[in-house]
Amino acid sequence: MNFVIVLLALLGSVWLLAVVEGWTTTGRLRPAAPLLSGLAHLGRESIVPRTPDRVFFETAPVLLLIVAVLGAAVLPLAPTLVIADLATGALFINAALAYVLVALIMAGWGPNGAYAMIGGWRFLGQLIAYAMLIVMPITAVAMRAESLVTTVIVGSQDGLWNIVYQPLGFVLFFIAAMALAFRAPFDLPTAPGELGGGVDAEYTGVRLGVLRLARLTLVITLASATTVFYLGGWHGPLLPPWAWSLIKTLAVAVSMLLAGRYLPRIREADLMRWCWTLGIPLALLNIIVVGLLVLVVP
Amino acid sequence: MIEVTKDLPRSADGLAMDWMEVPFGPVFPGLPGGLKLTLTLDGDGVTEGQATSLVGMINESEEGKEIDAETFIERLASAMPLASVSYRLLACLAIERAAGLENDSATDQARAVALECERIASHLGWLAQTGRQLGFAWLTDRAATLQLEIRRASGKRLLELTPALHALAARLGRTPLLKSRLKGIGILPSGTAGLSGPVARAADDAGDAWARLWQRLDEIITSLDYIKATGEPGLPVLRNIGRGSGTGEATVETPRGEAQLSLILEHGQVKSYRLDTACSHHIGLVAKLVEGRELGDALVAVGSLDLSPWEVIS
Amino acid sequence: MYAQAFFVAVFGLAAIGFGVVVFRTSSMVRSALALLFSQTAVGCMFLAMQTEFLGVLQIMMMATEMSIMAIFMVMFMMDPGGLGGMEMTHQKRFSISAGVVAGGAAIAVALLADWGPVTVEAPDAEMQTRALGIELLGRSMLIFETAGITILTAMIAATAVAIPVYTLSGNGGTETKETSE
Repeated sequence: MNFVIVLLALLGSVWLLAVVEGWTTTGRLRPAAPLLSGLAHLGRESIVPRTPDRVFFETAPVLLLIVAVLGAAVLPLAPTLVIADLATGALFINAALAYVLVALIMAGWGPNGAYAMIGGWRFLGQLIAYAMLIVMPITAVAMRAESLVTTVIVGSQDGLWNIVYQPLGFVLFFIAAMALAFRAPFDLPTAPGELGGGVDAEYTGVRLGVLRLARLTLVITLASATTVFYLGGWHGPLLPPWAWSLIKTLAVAVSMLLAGRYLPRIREADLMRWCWTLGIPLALLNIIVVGLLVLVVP
Repeated sequence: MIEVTKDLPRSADGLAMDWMEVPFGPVFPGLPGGLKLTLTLDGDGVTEGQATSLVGMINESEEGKEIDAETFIERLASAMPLASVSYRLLACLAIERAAGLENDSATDQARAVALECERIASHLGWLAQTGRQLGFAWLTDRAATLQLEIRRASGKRLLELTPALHALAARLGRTPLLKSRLKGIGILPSGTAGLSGPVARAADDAGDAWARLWQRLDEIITSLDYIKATGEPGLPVLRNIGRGSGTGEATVETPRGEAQLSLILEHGQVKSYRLDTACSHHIGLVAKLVEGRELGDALVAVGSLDLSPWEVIS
Repeated sequence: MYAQAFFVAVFGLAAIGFGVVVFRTSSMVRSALALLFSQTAVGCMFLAMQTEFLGVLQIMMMATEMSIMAIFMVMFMMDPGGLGGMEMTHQKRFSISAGVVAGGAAIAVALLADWGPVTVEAPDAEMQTRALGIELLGRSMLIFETAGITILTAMIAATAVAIPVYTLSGNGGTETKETSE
């Protein structure tokens, strides 16, 4: 039952996010547009490029969708509303999202095209930059909760959300999550102005539809993770817990969407340099500060 | 393995990889339409590259074919869709000089204002294109909206748009990541010959994409001030030349640099002409700018030249 | 119990299957990713055997490790796409005999070793994680820290050796100076 509810919530969020995305780009609020363009994808010819690596080409969009849903499976909407309340939830989400990289490498290598291939390998470089900034802030979150269980992590924020307790970790995680979801300004693997779509470039029709759905789901999953780890998950007054989770998740997802509109794409070299020379020392500092707080403050 | 790779060309990092020749354009989201960039890629680094225009004019009037002066102006203006007013003005000036007409200060002034209007619109168009290349959606929307407004605007409406243009420049100065994205990209070697327009004026500064951005933003403001001081724009229209004959030469500082036209007029008909534009020279700089750069940086460098493929004369 | 054995067997066979694919394809990228999924299947075996933390860790680590291996394959091998139909195996006689010996040894250990009494009830995942943490930061700390520092040193050294010496040339660009001929 939980499975169905969480999946529906995920789908609903994806739909809302797509509506908002359309609103910011075209200036028109059209609630039916995501469904119509989804249907249009089904109707269009789905072209397979010449001499593809067929297995990779077909698997990549589906794999991306699966890992995004798997990541969402350990994130609670309400105290009992979670598909799998794993004892290693905070680690599991990392494991699931590591396969975003695999999916993108497959999507890059599969179609046998230069733009796509460069996009796919670019994301590997991007992973080297952001990966530590996903894992290390989560470490600090788990330190406060003294658990890897996501429901316990939300429980530990009763009274004081992690965004206040460890603001540095929140900022680092938010940026790294945008890089993981390859949203602008970190859209190096797709980069319309540089690679003409990159890993998306050779996908058409129903395959492109799946790929787009997967990308939006990934954003929602990461926004939901930000909510669970930093924004107190389901905590909030008046409204029921699940409503708070959804509101916060959507707010984070939309802010990720909007941030990209007002920034130019980051240079690959800058991303790498800033993440390693600034991000990782700050993440270590965050761990030290949280460690001291956990020891000193009862 | 050594036998297989020993003769492969080596890139700067010493790795022997298969090099790919990849076309960018003529229809590529990050480049002006009609421009074809062929890059030889070593991974995501560019080892060499060259740009060609697929829509440029051919600098040859057909043998023995005379063109009516008005038709010539229309043809030249429509052959340069990104700067039609400038080339209309250029053709008018050259023909009038060939016919021996004296300058008329009132007409000149209105024409100069029209040219400056086009300069603002053209620079805004470049900003929109740059926004598209950099994935900077806000800039694309804003600059494109302003560009359309300015193309339709009268002198008074232009002055109303002044705060918006100032705000755009201020906003770009405050935008995070933009400076790190453009600074130090597309530096031209000192003493590069054949530069003109904003590219040449920015070369005195740092000579990189960041300097070119600010050169164009400054030019927008300067042009606005000029329009404010001068008056209404007037689209260049050919004055009555009768059936004059002679040779004429004119130079106009188009938004992309200096354009020069010399022609021979016979009884009100253009017999032959010779056109020289800034972009014809600038397109040759591409090879130097992209060599050894990361792909994204190479494309930013090419974009910062503001090449108009229509203005490349072959 | 039977369900558990069934899943262990399924994932084990999948691991072996992907392992075979590693050598049956001529594309380097396919080969690397097949190895990845073979290791992922091993991670799933851990999960089926109720060692949640180890399983998840294995699944996570292999994704990035094998992807990085794939890019090194693409960079250093002459035919990464396998268009030339390259043979992945070499030194056949030696490798077959080595494989048979190692496989026999593994089966022998599995069958002959005294595994002690079978644990009836595995501790729950949370307890395991806790026990693992105490083990890592207690008795085994020195070993793991030494290993970690050694690997880090090796990585830095390897990178330092691999990077050519750059000298700044007059026109602002960088030129490579050959360190050895």
